[in-house]
This record gives sequence, C-alpha cells and structure tokens, in this order.
Amino acid sequence: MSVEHLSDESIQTYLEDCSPEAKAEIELHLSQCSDCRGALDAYRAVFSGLTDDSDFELSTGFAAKVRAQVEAESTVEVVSPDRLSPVISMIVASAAVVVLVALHYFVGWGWLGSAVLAISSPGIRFFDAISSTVSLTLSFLNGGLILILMGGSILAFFGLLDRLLVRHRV
Amino acid sequence: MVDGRVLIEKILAGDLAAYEIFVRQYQKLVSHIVFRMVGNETDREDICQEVFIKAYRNLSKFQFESKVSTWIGKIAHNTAINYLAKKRPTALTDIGEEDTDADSFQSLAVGPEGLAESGDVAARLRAGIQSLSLPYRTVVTLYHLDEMSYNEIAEVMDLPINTVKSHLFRARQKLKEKLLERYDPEDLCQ
Repeated sequence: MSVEHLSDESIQTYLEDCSPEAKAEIELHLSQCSDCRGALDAYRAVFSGLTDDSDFELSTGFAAKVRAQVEAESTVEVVSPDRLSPVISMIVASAAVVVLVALHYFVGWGWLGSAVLAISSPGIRFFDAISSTVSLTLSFLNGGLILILMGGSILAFFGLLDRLLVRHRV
Repeated sequence: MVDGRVLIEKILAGDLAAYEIFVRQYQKLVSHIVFRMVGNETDREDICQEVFIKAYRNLSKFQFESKVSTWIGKIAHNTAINYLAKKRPTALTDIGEEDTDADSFQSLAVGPEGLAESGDVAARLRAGIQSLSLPYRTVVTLYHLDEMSYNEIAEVMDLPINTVKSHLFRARQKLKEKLLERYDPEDLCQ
C-alpha cells in the first residue's frame, strides 16, 4: 500500500503561516506518518539554524570608527593643484612691490599726491583738514605711504584669490 | 530604535552623533548581508565600512520611497556583489544551487556518532548555508535573520518576487535534504 507524504511546500507552509483547516489536516497526517514527522523535524532544525545570529559580530567601536572616517572626509580639504602655494604667492607679491619701488624711483608719485590733493581740497573745511594731513603725510613720506598701501592691497588681492580657490569636499 | 527619517534629517543637518546612531542601528543588517555573501573574514568589516560611507555620501538622494533598511540593504548587497566581481567573478555567474568554492557541508559534517558527541547541529547547518549558492543564502538571510518581506528582498536583490519565493523554498529544501542525508530525524529533534 502506497502512502502519500506531505509535500515540502506543505511542511514549509505549516511552519510559517497556515490556515487552521490546512493545519488540522497536516497534523492528522503527521500523527500517522513517521517519515513526514522526520521531515518536519529536519525543517524545524533548518528554520532554527537560519535565525542563528551568532556569527555576524563586527568589532567593538565599529560605529565610532565609521563616524571618524566620515568626519575626516567632511573637513575642508585643500587641493594643492588648484591653490597657489604660499611660496608662489610670496614671490608674486614681492615682484609687485619691486615693480612699484622701481616706478617710484624712475617716475615718482608726485602726480598721485596732486590728484589726492585736488580731490580733497575744494569746499568744506573738514575735508580741508584731512587733505592737509594727507598732503603733509605724502610729502613727508615722499609717496612711500602709497607704496606701502598698494603693496598691502596686492597682497590682500592674492590672499583673496588664493582663498577663493580652496575647494570644500563633503 | 530611532526613526530612520528623523535620523537622516539630523545627519543631513550635520549631526554626526546621529550618524553614529544610524550606523549602530543598521550595522546588524549590513553585517548579515556582507558576512553571508563574502567568505573572506579579513575583508568583511572593510566592506561593511564602505557600505556606511556610501550611504552617508548618498543620504541626500534618499527620497524615502522605500524603508531605510531596504535602501541600506541594497547598498550592502551591491557593495558585496562588486567586491565578489573583482575577487571571484565566477561566484556571480554561478546560478547553481551549490557554491562550489565555499567550505563544503559534506566535509564539515560528521557521522551520527560524531553528532552525538558534539550535539552541534547548528554549526553544521551554518556550513550548509555557506555551501548554498550566493542568491540562495542571501535570500534565506534576509528572510529569516532580517525578517524582510518578499517585496523588500526583491528590491534589495533586484529580483522578481516569484524568484525570491522560489529561491527561499529551494534553499530551505536543500538544507533539509542535506541534514537528512547525514543525520537521523531523532538526532535533529532538539
């Protein structure tokens, strides 16, 4: 006499989600069939083993390690090929100052002082006082103040240019 | 467990403490996927780290159309696939039921007398899982360990739902057969 055993699908469904009617039918069969009880036991072992979570441990402090890496990447990064190096900036600024000194030596700055005086002299006494001071300073320094101011402006310009070329990477 | 959306919003606002919580919250899921897919123990943790770095970089693109766990699971799955493609391209093309490169279940299993001595069916079953093909062991892991639905697994693995169902059924059937080949049902009854 041949016996029809439970299918694998029926046993898997029985262990997971099964209607009450199907469950009763399967249990009736199981009570009479040792082969299917054996298969059920094997499936129970499989289902139990599949929820075994013991081999998946990451090292202690894993989350902090990942955070540190992200933190390092988020900080401002200076990208050297795009940024003017401090040495080049200094050379360019020094060259600009040398050019200004040469101009001062060969051409002079008298015209610039006159222009400042022409702008500041007319009208109000307050500005007269300022223009007198400027005039006195200019004549005292013989254009040196302007030289210093222009040198400073050039340095500031290169500093700004350099700053704008810094790239931020997240 | 903190809501994924809340965490992501905090991270995008620059809160790195929230990012650390995010990593702690999903590191189990990521390790389940990566450890099950990648056999090399020395590379596994680096791959997990890579998964979270990728997630961080792409966080602003996440549109909350799926669960955060599904999204991060997909990143983990793809990262492990990329790693395997570089290391062992044949593993990805092999669609058989057995992973021929994995430690074989047969070699690790001992006879019933050995089983009676050690009583460690679980260890042998773990070896059996590792001997399954890559898609089979990934599906059973996502379903049984991470309690993902068929839909979620399909999304993570980029497979049709019916394929997920069939992989799950065949993987469990395969493991049952492997156990019954070696052990008496009474030995498995614990």
